[in-house]
Parts: sequence; C-alpha cells; structure tokens
Amino acid sequence: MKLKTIINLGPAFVLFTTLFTVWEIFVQTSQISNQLLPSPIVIMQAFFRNWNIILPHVQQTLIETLIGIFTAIVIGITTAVLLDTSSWVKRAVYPILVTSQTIPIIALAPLLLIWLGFDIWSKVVVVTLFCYFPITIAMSDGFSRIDKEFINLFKTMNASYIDTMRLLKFPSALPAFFSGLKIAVTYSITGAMVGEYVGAEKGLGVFIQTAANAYAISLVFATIFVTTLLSMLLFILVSILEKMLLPWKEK
Amino acid sequence: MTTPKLEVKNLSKTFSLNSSLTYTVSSISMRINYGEFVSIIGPSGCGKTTLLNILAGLEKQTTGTIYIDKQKNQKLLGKSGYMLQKPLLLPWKTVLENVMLGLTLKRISEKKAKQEACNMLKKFGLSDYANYYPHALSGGMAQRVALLRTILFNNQFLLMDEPFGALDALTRLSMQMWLLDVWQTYKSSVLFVTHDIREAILLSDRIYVLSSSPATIIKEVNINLPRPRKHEFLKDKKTVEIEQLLEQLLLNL
Repeated sequence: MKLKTIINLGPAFVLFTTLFTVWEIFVQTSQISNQLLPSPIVIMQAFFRNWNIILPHVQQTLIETLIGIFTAIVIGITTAVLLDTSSWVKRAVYPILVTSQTIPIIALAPLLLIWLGFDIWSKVVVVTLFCYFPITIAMSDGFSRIDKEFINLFKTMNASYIDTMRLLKFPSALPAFFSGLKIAVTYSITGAMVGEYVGAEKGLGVFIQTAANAYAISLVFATIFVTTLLSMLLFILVSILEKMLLPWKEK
Repeated sequence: MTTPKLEVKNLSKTFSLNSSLTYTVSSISMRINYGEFVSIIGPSGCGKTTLLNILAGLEKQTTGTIYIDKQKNQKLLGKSGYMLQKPLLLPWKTVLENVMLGLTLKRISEKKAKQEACNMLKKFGLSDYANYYPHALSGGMAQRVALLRTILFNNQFLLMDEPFGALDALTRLSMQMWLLDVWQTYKSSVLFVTHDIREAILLSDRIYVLSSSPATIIKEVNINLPRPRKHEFLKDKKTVEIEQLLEQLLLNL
C-alpha cells in the first residue's frame, strides 16, 4: 500500500522536479535578473527567511477560508436538499443558480467591503461565494443520480422523508459531495485572497500586494508557493476525510 | 372458500399517448390465498411490472379495486415486501445492516433489530457473511440478502418482480429451492413475476398467464405437484404437458 502510493506519485514528482530544474537552469544561464524572475532556489530562500512575517498572514487567510468553506457547505447542502424537494423547485432555481455564477465575484468584492467592512466577514463571504456553487451542484447531482428503484424500495417500506434522507439520499450523495468539496477547497484560498486584495489589514492577499509594490518579486513568488501549498493541504485533508467516511468506495 | 390475502377486481391502468388512451393493464381480476404461491408469467414488457407497482402502492390504478386482508383500497405502501431483479443493497451498509433496514424504518430499537437480523441470517445460513459489504457478494448471495431484508420487513405478503432474472442458471436453481424453503418457513403469500415457465411451474401453486400490452389474464393454471417441490418434478409427464401448454400460449401472443 505504502510502496504503491510512492510509485503512483513517482511520475508527478519526476515531472515537477524536471520543471523546476529547467526553470532554475534557465534563470541562472540567461541574463534575466533574479529581481525580475527569481529562480526556485531564490524563492525558497525568500520563503524561509521571511517565514515569521508570512505566518500571521497565513493564519488570517486560513481562518477566513475555513469559515467560508464551512458556511458554503452548510448553505450548499441546504440548497441541494431544497432543490431535491420537488422537480418544480429545481426547475425554477437551478437556472438562477447557474446564471449567478456568471457574475464575476471579483466585481462583488468591493461591494462586500462596503457592506461588511474591513474585517474578516467580507472575505468570508467571498470564499463562500467561490465554494458554494461546486458544492451545491455536486450534492444536487448526487441526489438526482440515485437509482429510482432505491427510492421505490424505500417507499414500499413506508420510509419517512427524514429516514429516506438519512439512510439513502445523504449517503448516496456523499461521494458526489466530496468531488464538489475538492473543487471548492482548491478555489477557497484564492477566494480569500481576492477578498483581501480589495481591502484588508492582514492576509496573504495583502502581503502579496505589499510585496509586489515593493518590487520584492521573490517574496511574491514565495507567497504564491504558500498559497498552492495551503490549497493542496486542504485538498489532501478533504481526500483523507473522504476515505475515512466512505470506506465502501475503495472497491 | 378461504379468504384471500389479496383480491384484485377489474384492475386497469391507462395512460394517454398522443391524445388516445392506451391500456398498460387491462381489467385484471385475481386473488392470492393465504400462504399461496402465485406466479405471473408473460412476455417481457407486457405490463407485469406496472401491475406489481400498483399492488405495492407505487403507482395508482385508473380503475378497479384492490383488497388486502379483505380491506378495500387502503394505503398500499408498506403492506407488502417488495423485491426486484436488482438486489438494491445499500453499498455503505454491511449485510447485517442491510437486512435490518426494514426494522430500522419501523423504528424498532437497534438492539432488537440486530438480534432479529442475526437470527434470520443464522436460520438461512448467511451468518458468515454478516459483516461483508455488498460489493464483496456474488449476485446470488446479494439476492439472498435482499430476500431476507424483504422478509424481515414483511413476511406475510411478498411481491417479487423477476428476482432471479439476472442470475445464471445454476445459481438460479439453488435460489429457487432456497426461496421455497424461506416461503414455507413463514407461510407467506407470494406474487412472483417471471418469464421463465419452468421456474413458475416449480415454485407455484397457481400461475396466471398474461398477454402482452395491455396486460390481461388469458389463462389460469393450477399446479398440483406435491410439496416440498423437487427439480425432478419438472421431468414428470404431466408437468411437461403443462409446460408445453404454457409455452404454446406465450408463443401465440
């Protein structure tokens, strides 16, 4: 099992290493200054040297992100359950839901700042807006993909609405929910940073702006590195949670 | 005359297609006595499933009356154990938990439900599989679990829609005997839908032959073979005659 995991990760690892090596060699052999395009080694140096400065910003962004994801999960599941109550509700709400996704969230961010102020809540809402859609759609699709015969079986057993939800629909939709959640969490950190870009006192979005304004390009890259790291950690966390909750999916 | 478990009078189901009424089920009258094993045979897609769904309470008939235990047109959902070709086991529950499902839905305490399900598994030789997940079961085994789940929910009245239709011939043979064993234990009243003539003869006390769309009864045949049934009975001269008769009927539809 352990060995297999390593073998599975092997190709991706090789590709990553190759890409970074090419990058490193390219910067070192070309005339481009490290000020403009820092090499991976320089970026890592910047990251470790400034780690204690970055950390509070990471904390801030992470708090906004986690509250935002949690809110999106609660509202998303609620929406999916409501959509499932009748095909009429679904036909009415679904198109609005999809249309709403064409609104650029980045354009809403300044409004949220005006309405909710500089503290974390405007950013939390941006994260929620980013995460809400994939979670809702995935969960809703999970509900609608349940075999009609299962629903009928529960009906013939006189199952109540709550029992059908609890014993059939929720567990059936969990795999779909986790697919949606995985997409959502990879967006989530970016969402928080978009919120911070527009106006905040702390957070990775603020830090990256400050760094860019000071032409500290290696620090910008270091922050990008932190961002991807956080997103990946969230993704892995969700995957682990999925494995724990859905042991039957293994086969 | 014994009182029937189920009595159906003049049952019809129509749906409108291009503004003309089409019958899927047409004036069916039938009965199942207490403890009787009755089969319905007919060509595929003839409306057998619709009929069964009506009896299970999943669909509404257009006209006609259904009596269960002499009571007229009551709420039918929950009055029967309903079993289909697919085992429909919940993949995230173990065999034991799947068998318990009906009791859980009836709000029977977990402890008691588990006890009853365990007894049931033991009685019919599935104890070893209690903690298996459905994906680890063979088709035949999954269908056995499905039958026990059905029985534990309602062992008095069973509606079965080609429950062995997806199984290979050998598994099917052992499943048929196993079903008879279960049926005799509980003296259930069974309505069994199949398109396998030999299966119908082997299992049933009585067979209704349905014509194809709309489904309507064209013949009723009594099977007077002794119980417990054995596969050898199918080679009897009289049985073979019935088989040929039914075959002719179905072929000429």
